[in-house]
Amino acid sequence: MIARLLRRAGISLIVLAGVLLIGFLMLQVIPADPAVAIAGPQGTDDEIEAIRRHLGLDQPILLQFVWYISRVVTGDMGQSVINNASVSAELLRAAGPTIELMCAAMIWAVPTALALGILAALRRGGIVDRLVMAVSVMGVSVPVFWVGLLMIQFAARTRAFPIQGRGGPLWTAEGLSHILLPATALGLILVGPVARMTRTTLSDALHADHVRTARAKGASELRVVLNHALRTALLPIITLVGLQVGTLMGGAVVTETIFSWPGVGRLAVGSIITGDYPMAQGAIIFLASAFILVNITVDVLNELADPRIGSRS
Amino acid sequence: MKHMTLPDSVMTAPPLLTVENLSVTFRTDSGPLPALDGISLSIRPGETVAVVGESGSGKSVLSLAVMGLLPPTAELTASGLIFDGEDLQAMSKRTRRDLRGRDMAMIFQEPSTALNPVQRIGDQLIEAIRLHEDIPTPKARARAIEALAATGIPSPELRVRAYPHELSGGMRQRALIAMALIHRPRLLIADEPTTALDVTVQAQILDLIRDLARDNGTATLFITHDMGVVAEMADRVAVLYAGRMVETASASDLFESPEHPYTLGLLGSMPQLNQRGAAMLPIAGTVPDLRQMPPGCHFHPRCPFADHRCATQRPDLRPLAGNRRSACHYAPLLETLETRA
Ligand SMILES: Nc1ncnc2c1ncn2[C@@H]1O[C@H](COP(=O)(O)OP(=O)(O)O)[C@@H](O)[C@H]1O
Ligand code: SF4
Ligand SMILES: [Mg+2]
Repeated sequence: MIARLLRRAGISLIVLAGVLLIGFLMLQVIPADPAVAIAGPQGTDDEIEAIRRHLGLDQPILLQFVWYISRVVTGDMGQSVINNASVSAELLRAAGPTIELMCAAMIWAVPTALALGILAALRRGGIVDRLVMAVSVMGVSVPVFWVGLLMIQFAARTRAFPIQGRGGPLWTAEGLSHILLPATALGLILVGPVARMTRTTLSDALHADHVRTARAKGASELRVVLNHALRTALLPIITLVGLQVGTLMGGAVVTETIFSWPGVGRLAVGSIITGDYPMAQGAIIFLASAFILVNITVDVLNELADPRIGSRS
Repeated sequence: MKHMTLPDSVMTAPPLLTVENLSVTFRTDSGPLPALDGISLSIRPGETVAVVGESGSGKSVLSLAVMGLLPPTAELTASGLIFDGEDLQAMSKRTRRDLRGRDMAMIFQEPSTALNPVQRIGDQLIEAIRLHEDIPTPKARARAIEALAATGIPSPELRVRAYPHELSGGMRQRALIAMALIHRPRLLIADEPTTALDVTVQAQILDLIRDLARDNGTATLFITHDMGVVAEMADRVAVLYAGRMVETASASDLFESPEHPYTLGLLGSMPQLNQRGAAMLPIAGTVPDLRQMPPGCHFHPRCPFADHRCATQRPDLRPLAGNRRSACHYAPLLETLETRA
């Protein structure tokens, strides 16, 4: 198991290096010259040249990449060309609200999806089952920005909930009411796929031989469903939720932008729009690394949930 | 043969399980599928009754019906389903569930899939214990180890920590047997428990089931398609064909003089009998589609004895001399053969 995880971590490192390379190349191909941007509209050619030398932009590209990597590894992702703020510091500040938003989305969406999926599997063809199928088709075809805009329309008209920004810590009423709409919009992405996966894997598992054994032992129906059928069906569900975290991060970018949520997603979009490329690059590297980390975590969870995986390889 | 050793008290005791006129029909997309039709049988305490028949004859459906584990698509009717004097059909779901695993237990055909793949063997046994007995986990664990030891699993104190995939097929079946017998049930249903195992392991598992059942005074409904296994295990035999019982007799009577051509056919595929030069009638053809049964005797398209009467008139399961029954117009077969010759 340890060896497998190490190998997995190795692969992730390679992927991460690829992300860094793309981030680095992005800065190379963009039309704007960072030196010009830093020097500002009044910068003279000499000043620009000095800044360029100072940033090492006159050195060979390979060397620049090596420097770049060593800087990123030590947590230095440069400065914003807009306000000179440290990119790492800005990212760290924005990470909190993004994590908060994603957790808030998952905390209601995953249990809801599980419950819907279980009910659908237990009563196939019933009302919940049809609802789950409808919602999962809808969730796939209705983009999150559409849902978000609808909510804003609704909230603006009824003035029921705030629609802009973060209202402080979640344990305050203000904080809670602010996160309600964005978390709902973001969580909706998860409900359909997770409910459908739960329904499918659980209805298969309910017909498994070992579930029949559990019934033959005299286990109650609740115990049979939760402890035996769901327990073995959990694996693909965990995997799916893990993979959906990637989708969720994409959704967070959109949701944060719509609801002005001060997270990494809005930071990324905002910095791209304003041409703050070091900041944009930092945000993208940050999101990609988070994605990789989540995937490793899913792997570990899978291994813990199914003892067969570890011994298979 | 085993029945020789059965004490007389067993033969006169009231039945532990009585099944009377049991029919099971599945609702399927292509119409109703009658899997069992008018089955009657009984088992006395400590007795072993074998149910034989080709694959698809309804043996598993019968065992699930007794356990109360039929899927919701199954419709069950019976004029009697009595266990230990209690009417199973009239029982609440809760009472019925309490019987399962405690008073009646079951071993399944596929040891590789019958255990929960993500739960340790010990935990599965502990669950079985604690479902019916309120004892603390450490005590249950000790019991589990004891039960595994009784099935001949080496170093059981290590095996309780193993996951099913870490054990061999034979070991898994031993663990399942330990689990089924942990509360000394009065009835054990074994549905082809050795079919999925290596030949060498088969004999050991059969011995184990027989010995443990005898030690616990457990009655066994032993399901198999293998006449060799029947000879090994059974006191009495019920032969199923396409959901109907076609013959029932004591094991000795059945092997000595089968009174249904289908039984003859099943015996024909037993190597020992062939060598002795007994009737060798390999059964040609296959089990008919349960939704489109041939008229008359359901066996007539495959029966070497069949004549015009068999094609139109359905034979009842009728009593013959001795305590046995056959659903063939021409039973007793020997007389028929003599008159026809
Ligand atoms: N859940 C089910 N739904 C529909 N038909 C079933 C179901 N279970 C069993 N059957 C049918 O009932 C018949 C008897 O099956 P079974 O008892 O498993 O046979 P055996 O155990 O003797 O091989 C078969 O024709 C089978 O297809
Ligand atoms: S009734 Fe006729 S067809 Fe059926 S088993 Fe007897 S001889 Fe064969
Ligand atoms: Mg079967």
